Amino acid sequence: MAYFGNNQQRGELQELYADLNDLNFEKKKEAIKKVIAYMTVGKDVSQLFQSVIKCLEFQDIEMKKLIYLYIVNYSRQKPDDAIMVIQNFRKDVRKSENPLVRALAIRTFGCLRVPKLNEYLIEPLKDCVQDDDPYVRKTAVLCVPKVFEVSPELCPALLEQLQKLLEKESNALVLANLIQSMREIEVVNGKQLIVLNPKIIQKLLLAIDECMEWGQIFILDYLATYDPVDSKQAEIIIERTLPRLSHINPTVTFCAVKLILKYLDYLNNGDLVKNLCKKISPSLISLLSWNQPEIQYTILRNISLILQKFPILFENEVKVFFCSFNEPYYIKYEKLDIMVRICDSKNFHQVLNELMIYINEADPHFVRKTIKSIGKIAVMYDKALAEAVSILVEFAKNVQQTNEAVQELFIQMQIIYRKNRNLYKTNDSLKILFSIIDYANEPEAKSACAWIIGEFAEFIPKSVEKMGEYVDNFILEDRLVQLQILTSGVKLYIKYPSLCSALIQQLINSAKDSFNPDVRDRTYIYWRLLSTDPEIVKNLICYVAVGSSQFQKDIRLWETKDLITALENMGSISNLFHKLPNQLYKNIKVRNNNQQEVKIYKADEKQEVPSKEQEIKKDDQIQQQQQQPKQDFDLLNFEEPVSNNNNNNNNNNNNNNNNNNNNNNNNNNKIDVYDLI
Amino acid sequence: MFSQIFILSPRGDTIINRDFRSDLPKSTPETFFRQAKTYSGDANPLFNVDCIQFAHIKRGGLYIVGTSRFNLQPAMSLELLDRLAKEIKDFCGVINEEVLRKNFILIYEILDESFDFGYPQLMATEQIKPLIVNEPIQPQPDSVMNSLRPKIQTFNIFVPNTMGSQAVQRSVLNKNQANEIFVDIYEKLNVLFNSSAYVINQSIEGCIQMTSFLQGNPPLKLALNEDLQIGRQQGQYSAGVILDDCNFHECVNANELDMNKTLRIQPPDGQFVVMNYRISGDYAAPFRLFPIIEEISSSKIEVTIKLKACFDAKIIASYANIRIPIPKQTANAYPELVKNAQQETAEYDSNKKIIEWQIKKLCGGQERSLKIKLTLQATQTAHTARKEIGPIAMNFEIPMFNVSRLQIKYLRIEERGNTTNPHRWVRYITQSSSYVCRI
Repeated sequence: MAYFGNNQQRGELQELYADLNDLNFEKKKEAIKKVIAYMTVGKDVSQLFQSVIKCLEFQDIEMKKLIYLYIVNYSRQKPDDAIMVIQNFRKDVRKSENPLVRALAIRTFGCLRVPKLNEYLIEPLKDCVQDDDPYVRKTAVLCVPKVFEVSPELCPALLEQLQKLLEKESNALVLANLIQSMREIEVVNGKQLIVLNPKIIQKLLLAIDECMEWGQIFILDYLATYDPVDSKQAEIIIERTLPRLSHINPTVTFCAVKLILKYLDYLNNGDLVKNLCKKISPSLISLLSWNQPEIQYTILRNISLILQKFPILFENEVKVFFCSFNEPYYIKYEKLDIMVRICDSKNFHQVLNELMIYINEADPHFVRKTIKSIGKIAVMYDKALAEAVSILVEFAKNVQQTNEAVQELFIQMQIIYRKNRNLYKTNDSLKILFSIIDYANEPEAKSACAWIIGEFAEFIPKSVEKMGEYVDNFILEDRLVQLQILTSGVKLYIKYPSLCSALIQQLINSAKDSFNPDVRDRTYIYWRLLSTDPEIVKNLICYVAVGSSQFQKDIRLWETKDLITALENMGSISNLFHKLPNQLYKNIKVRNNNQQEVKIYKADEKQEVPSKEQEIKKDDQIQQQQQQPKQDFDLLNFEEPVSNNNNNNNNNNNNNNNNNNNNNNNNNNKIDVYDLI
Repeated sequence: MFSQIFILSPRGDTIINRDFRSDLPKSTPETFFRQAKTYSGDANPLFNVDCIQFAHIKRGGLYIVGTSRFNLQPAMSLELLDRLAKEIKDFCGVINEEVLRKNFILIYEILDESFDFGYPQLMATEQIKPLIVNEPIQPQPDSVMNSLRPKIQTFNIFVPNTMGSQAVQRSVLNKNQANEIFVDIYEKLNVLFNSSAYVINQSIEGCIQMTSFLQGNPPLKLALNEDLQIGRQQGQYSAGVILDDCNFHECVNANELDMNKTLRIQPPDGQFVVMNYRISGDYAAPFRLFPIIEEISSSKIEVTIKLKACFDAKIIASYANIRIPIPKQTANAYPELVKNAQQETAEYDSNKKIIEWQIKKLCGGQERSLKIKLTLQATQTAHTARKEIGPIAMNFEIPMFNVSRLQIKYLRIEERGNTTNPHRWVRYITQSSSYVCRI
């Protein structure tokens, strides 16, 4: 087979070779088209290099375009042959009357990427940067980073030329390309190349109005990295940017939003800030209802970031984030996430009413996220508690079979009970939960159930039997569940010593030889404690949490320092993944921020001016005072629960133990240490 | 910026492959295709393999892919690919494998003008038109390939799948074409009713779209309603048409919009969106749904749905489809149409547990109704099952009708050089986007 295949290809090549050397122009042209077709599908036609470049002598522009395409593709394989083309290029650049030909030559030239050819390129490139025709100039300007990437040592003179051009260039298109190519060289080089002065800024602002949408993006994006010198300058730049908010290209709109949001920090006129926010908000909402779901998604991912700094923007706009039935699920998930973020003590009723409807959706995963959201709202806002719990209880009543959503229900109810222990008194939620407790099958949900049984043993009629079942299957359980069964088992023993003595024996027997050191150690600790003084154990294990200070209303996505970096990269792919650019790309260096505080823009009813209050840093300090800096209950972790993820549990245990610490019992420290391992 | 742009056939063959930066391996198209095939449905528009960002869109069954190693703006990458697809469509008339294979040199030309070093340059059809030397090759209309090829339809709820227009499928390079311009006003409705037909949430997403085949691209003047108002103040009620927000194409000069409600347009060739707008205020919903649920016994439920078309009798909806999800535990369901019902069907899909009610034509003012008799499995009672009914979702299209009352008063061609008066076509189309009634 191989023999025939080779033979056939050679035959084809020879045919092409003959055609290329044919005297007939049309035949040559057809042959070159065929060569390009082969090249596209990945066949190697580099052997024809010599014959192809011979055809360059024709001035037909279509032919030229094709041949250049070929040369770009194969120049790196045949650098020696490529040198022969140089003369042709130089001739085109220097002599051709047609700006299209000049631009085409310089564009192709830049794509050769052969270091030893570049020295021949510098002179013609310099000419082109100063060409009279803007089309040639814009092409030449973009050619500089191409050359710089391959042979930076040749470029200092060119870079100076670019800097000069920045000051005198008047064509908007060239200017946009100039900014973009200088930025790229800055990234590669690491040195600042663009020096902005008021005159250049003025020019860039004018250029925004004139150039095409992509140029506008380049310039706006660049200006968004600039720090204005004073409030006045920021105001001027914002004013010129405002018309971009109603551009039809979503990226232009978004870049304008990005720029304005950044410059708001520099304004010292509170009313102006408020007015600007009013103008930005409808544009962002329009982007959210863009007719491409992909665009919607990118905007939604950024909104959670914007919200952290600018809650004011979506005040009273919670309806925008209600899901439509026909939206893709990735959009629905994002909207749920955001709904929880903007839920506050005023609009929680509206949000919960909407979430209640989602519970009936067909997709169990979506329902799961909805339940998680409801749970979070219940924990965050005391006012919303009763309503949220009644929704969850109503859901529990209708549970017919086990599914993802039911698992989440147990987990969320556990968290709610932890915060509001007295909840069991006010409604029959415990009874209903207990009636469906057999549906729990995920480790996290099971451990939640085990906790509920241990905590509320007195109020659940058959708690001891149920715990007995758990203990019987102890060996088969996940580590997370085992740990919780241990603690709950001890709790039950303390509460009903006579009833549970056999149970606790069985439990300790099956747990003490566990392969898992966590389980084993905890077993021994409890064992020893129980055998010394059950009274201490009672204080320890059955301690009733008072107050809910551990449950912070922390809906921050980013740390302060990272928030600034993230805001600077708003709209980029790294933000789409909610990561910092340097986490995603090894080669990107992030500008170091010494800024410690972020202004939060919030609408305040008492003061008309949006006050720059509630610095995140303050929160941090409070946390430090409480000496539990890393124990933020991760309220907004929308990731799927991983079965081995003991994060939640550890946090919960920490909370328990901290309470114990408050008890000032020396022995507690021991458990503290062990629990954390 | 983009490192490469390539176009792959549905089977993964490379049709176009343009490498701008030579910083990625040559096998990248294969990497893409392999990854794209791992998704069960359509692949994610954006994904990342070994630090390479892939952005892609699917047009005519083809993958149009851009790759990059930079921290790009994803919205921009997707928009760029979409624009590229539009350009190709403007030049070639349609996008499919055969056309692209025939015109690959033209496409390379377009790519070269549109991107340099991966940066977008000139991306408007009329801007690159003078720089393009190739002529498009139209495929044979009745070639064997055409008839054999299965119709590849990508499911996209946002693509207006509306009645055929002669404005499409034509190349802008075709010189012997009629001198005419098409104006479409699309409105997509989002409405959410509760069970008593009370509107909970409603909005309109609309756009004015033009397809221009005007010779010489003369400037246009488009006049809209005189009572048009942009930007909504809170608590304000006005009889006029209020747009919450709108945005405009680059070629539109909206300076006079506030004063005398006109837009000045320098139309490019081919298709473009003049203006997008969004309305969140109250409007009269064109259809109203009245669901009634009765528990006949503990295992039987009867659902009656009345549909009322609340628009002028001269206007005819071209279709209205209604989907009613019914309980998972349904043993059997019988949808019953009214006697003598014409151009209506109602079917029960027992796998999905959905009743599909399709109405072919519906005149304004008419009423239709459907009765569904449900029998439940023994495991569930009617009382709990009734909660699983709904929400009822509706799809429809109403031509020559728009809800917002936004109107084109006139479209004037400012400089009419030649004597022939170009044809100007205007049409209004209202479609459902998310038209839902909760029970």
